[in-house]
Amino acid sequence: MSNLKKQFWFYGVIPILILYFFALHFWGQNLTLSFNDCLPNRSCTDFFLKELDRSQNFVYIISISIFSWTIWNSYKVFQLSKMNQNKKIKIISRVSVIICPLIAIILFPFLALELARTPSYLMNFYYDLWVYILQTLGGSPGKFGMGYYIANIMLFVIIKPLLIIIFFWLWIKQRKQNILIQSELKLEDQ
Amino acid sequence: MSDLIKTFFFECVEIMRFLSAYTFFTYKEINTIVFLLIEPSLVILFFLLWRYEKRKYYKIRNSN
Repeated sequence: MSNLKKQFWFYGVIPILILYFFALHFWGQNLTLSFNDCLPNRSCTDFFLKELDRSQNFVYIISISIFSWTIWNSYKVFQLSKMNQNKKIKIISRVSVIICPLIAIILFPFLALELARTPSYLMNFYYDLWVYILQTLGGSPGKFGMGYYIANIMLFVIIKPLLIIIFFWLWIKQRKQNILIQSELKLEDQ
Repeated sequence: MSDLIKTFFFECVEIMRFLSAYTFFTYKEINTIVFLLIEPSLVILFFLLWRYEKRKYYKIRNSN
């Protein structure tokens, strides 16, 4: 995979899309809180004002991160595409790092409000599906018995984190070994 | 033993409830994000990175 492709997809599109989703969520919450009638009437409770303040902090942090990441990505894509011989790829990558963020900014307030207003059916469905799977694994479909608790703890608190740690450790170990071999080969060549 | 498991389970539920209140997500949403999106993607990511390094290792060995 070329460096340009890697930068565009792995360090650009995927993390920016994830950040965009979180930005939509926090902005949506903040906008819904800001449209509350108690603000112009100055009758908000302390708890409400604290919540508003907290949501604004999230909004600032996420907005700064997404803007700086997008600018850094565009800069890197422009730099890497300089070396690219294929003119078509060069133009497409350069135009898309400018046009796509602009479209995303224009759509942002509408999407944020819509996301805050409507419940996430897809997430609820996915969650309920997994609850049913865990209940079945626990031996009593449709019931929250001891089997469900055990299956839940085993899968999400023990097995999955353990798998993450094992694969992370294997990756780091292999990486170190590769670096060592490469440096040894370089020394042999010299 | 069953009390211990129940206590541990409900402690985890409490942590998720606190997280959901703190981040303005619902309980179901934060659960889905943490346990059904982030956790599996981390497992897949580190597995793929390990396989990638392993393939690289065989490539280096075979080229010499």
